[in-house]
Amino acid sequence: MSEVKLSGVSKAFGSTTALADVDLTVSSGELTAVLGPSGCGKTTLLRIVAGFVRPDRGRVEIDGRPVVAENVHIAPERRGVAIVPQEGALFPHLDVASNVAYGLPRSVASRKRVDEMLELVGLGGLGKRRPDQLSGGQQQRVALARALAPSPRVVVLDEPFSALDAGLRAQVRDEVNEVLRSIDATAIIVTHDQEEALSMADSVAVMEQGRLVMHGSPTEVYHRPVDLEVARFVGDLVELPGTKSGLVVDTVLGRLPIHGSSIPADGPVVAVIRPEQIRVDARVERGAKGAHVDDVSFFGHDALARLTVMSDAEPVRVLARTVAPLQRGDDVAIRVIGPALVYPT
Amino acid sequence: MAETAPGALSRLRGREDHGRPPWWLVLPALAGAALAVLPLGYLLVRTFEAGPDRVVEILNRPGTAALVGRSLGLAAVVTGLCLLIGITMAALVTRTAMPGRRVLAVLAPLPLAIPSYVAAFAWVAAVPWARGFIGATIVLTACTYPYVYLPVVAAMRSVDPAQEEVSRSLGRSAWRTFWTVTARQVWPAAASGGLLVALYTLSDFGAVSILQYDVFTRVIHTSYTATFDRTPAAVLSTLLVVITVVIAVGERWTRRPVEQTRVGGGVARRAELHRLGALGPLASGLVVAVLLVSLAFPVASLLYWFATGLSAGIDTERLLTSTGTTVLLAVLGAVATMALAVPIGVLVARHRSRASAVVETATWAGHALPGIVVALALVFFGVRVAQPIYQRTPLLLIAYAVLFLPAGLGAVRGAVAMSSPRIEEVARSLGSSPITVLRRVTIPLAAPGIAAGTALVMLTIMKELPATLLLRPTGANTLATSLWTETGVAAYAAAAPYALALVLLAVLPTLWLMRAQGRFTATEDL
Repeated sequence: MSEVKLSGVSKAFGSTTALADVDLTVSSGELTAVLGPSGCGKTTLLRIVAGFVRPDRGRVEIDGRPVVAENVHIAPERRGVAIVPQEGALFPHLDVASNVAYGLPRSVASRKRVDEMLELVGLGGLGKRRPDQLSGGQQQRVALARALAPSPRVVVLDEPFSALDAGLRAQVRDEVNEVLRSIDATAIIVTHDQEEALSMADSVAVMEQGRLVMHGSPTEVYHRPVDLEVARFVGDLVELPGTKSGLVVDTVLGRLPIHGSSIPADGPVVAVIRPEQIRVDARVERGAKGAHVDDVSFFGHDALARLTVMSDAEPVRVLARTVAPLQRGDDVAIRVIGPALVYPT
Repeated sequence: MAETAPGALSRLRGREDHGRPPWWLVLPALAGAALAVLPLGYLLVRTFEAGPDRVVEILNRPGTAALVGRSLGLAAVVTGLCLLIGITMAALVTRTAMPGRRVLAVLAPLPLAIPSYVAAFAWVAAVPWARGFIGATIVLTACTYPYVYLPVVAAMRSVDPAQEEVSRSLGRSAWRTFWTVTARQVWPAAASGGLLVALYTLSDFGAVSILQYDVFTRVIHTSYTATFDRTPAAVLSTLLVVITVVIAVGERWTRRPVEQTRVGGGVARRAELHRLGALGPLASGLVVAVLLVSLAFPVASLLYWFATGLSAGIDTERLLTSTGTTVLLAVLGAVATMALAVPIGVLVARHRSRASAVVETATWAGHALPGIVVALALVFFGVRVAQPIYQRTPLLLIAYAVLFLPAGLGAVRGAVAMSSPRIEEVARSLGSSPITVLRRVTIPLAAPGIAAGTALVMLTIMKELPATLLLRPTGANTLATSLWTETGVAAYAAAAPYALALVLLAVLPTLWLMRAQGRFTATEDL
């Protein structure tokens, strides 16, 4: 498996900028998620790597060999980049085995390879089925087997799970992840689902309006987002107005230590914490703040509570993720665990 | 949750998908387009080489204005009647609980398959007074009202009953709801069908000729056969082309929004049927009356004259050779048509660009040009330019290809568009070159649709009259031309076997095929 390197890639459709000067390196054998909201250009990025869209500027290299450069545009069929599209896009006129065999030469070895691939994705023995006889999750796994069969250098997956319903989605996601890991595939997966990106990928590239705004490990992206936009996009957020002085910030929830990175000048800032950093207790302890429970969304494994913090100034509303059995109308005590991030106002 | 990209962006992205079409698609497509506009081009050459004075003189003849009046008058009356009959029948069949609804719904589109000259033969053989305007109106209305009926049934079925229910719940009566909600949504489909009827009426040659009503097509043919000076025929043909093109453009223009609304619609719940009470049998009676005139009467007349002819003896040998010639020409014609249609269809379905739009517009000439005009233009072309193939099979095949290219193209484009471009991208990413993708993915996926299209074109060619009549190889007779010849001398008993053979050979398979393809599904499962 191979390294993919994009440098200075730009693409506009008419007056709409889809990609603006994107640099991205996907290391060999790594699974990188390209995460962003609808229309941020992530699908265009993937289609440029696969060769279906020609960028206006920039280079794309696979294993150091340019596939896109000035006056170079290698045809999709000669790139060794296999694609798994949304909803699988299986060849409806071929059975499962022939779908998987599509990219292989006709030989006995190929037939063995097809069986191996079907075993790998957990569909051994279903080779004679027609695509329309498979469930959505099975189709997606056949699409993956088909992409992997010719041992491509890179696999790109375009929102591969978005067509599946919620229950199936997590399961197929785990299965696909396992298969990709087992063969050390270099894979790029495009998604707008932050949970999907954070749970699957080795590294997450966050895109916003055609720009690559951050590329890092899932933990970095979640805990040290480069700006407020990224912070908001990758998970629920509690934003508090604060005043920074040195390595602490004063907020309505008290004086909080600041995370090492992203330090603006002292003065007014936005302090940011995640809802799971707020601990909720039934009784008021030392160093805790009183709060009123406005509303609770119960998820089973935990709950998200919307709280109003009592304070001398204006009341502030915060989100808390908690396992405590809260009910609307409860009065509770809250305190913050761990450091806050600060961004310029 | 599926992510939806902003409309504008995804549209632009779609254009980017496939880049420049490969030359092996563009060259045959351009060749096909050039062939499609050949008759029109040569007709214009032939018309204007006569000089402007001559053209103006012919257009200024008192007979010309009367001719335009008669042609447009017939087209208007037939179209009006078809709209009335088509919409009423569609509403009764889809929205009311009239007795016998299902059976009537299945029978209603069938007259479409009867060639209008066969119906004209049946009428003129049975009721000699049915000539001229009256006869032409009856026969053409009976044969073409399904052009309105079928799309209106489909449109009525796609109107979400929830909209009608909302209207009723907001206090509007069933009748007002029909006019303010249902009819509004159905109108584009009806208008498009009506324009097709008008186009058909102006293009029809066989029926008006057998019924001896002097509209454009008949006058052009008479003028062509009666005199050595063929300039008047050319000038009148050009005038007819101008009129049909205006109508065809109108038809194309109305069709666009209808197709769009159908995409979004989907088939929702079935609408509740209105109970007609005592009026029910009356409604059924109306529909039955239409079917008696359009279906039962021609078939009965045909069988009567066939029986009469049977006792007098049938020229079996000529019947067999005519049948053989018909089938042979139809097979060759269908192959020629599809050979042009496949590259154009793939190009148009997969590579939207200005060039492909030009190619598509060119092929559409066959849809707008009446058969007699195409035939006449190719006669001019054959006599002057292509003498070696004049009155030989190749020139006739060109005429068939021009006339039926739109039908073949529709089948190919529809079949290709059924499969997603994403599937072809997957094939590319697995190492297939564009031409391999065409061979291994696109064509196999489209094959059933293309095969059905080929069969339909073949059956349509069997029923074709004017081009076959003018361009057939010397001495060759098809079922259609034999029927024409015998009817011309009022030998109805001798003509009947050809008409019957046509119905068995071409009409019944057409019905079966259209049913299998789901062209009539709008009327199934009501």
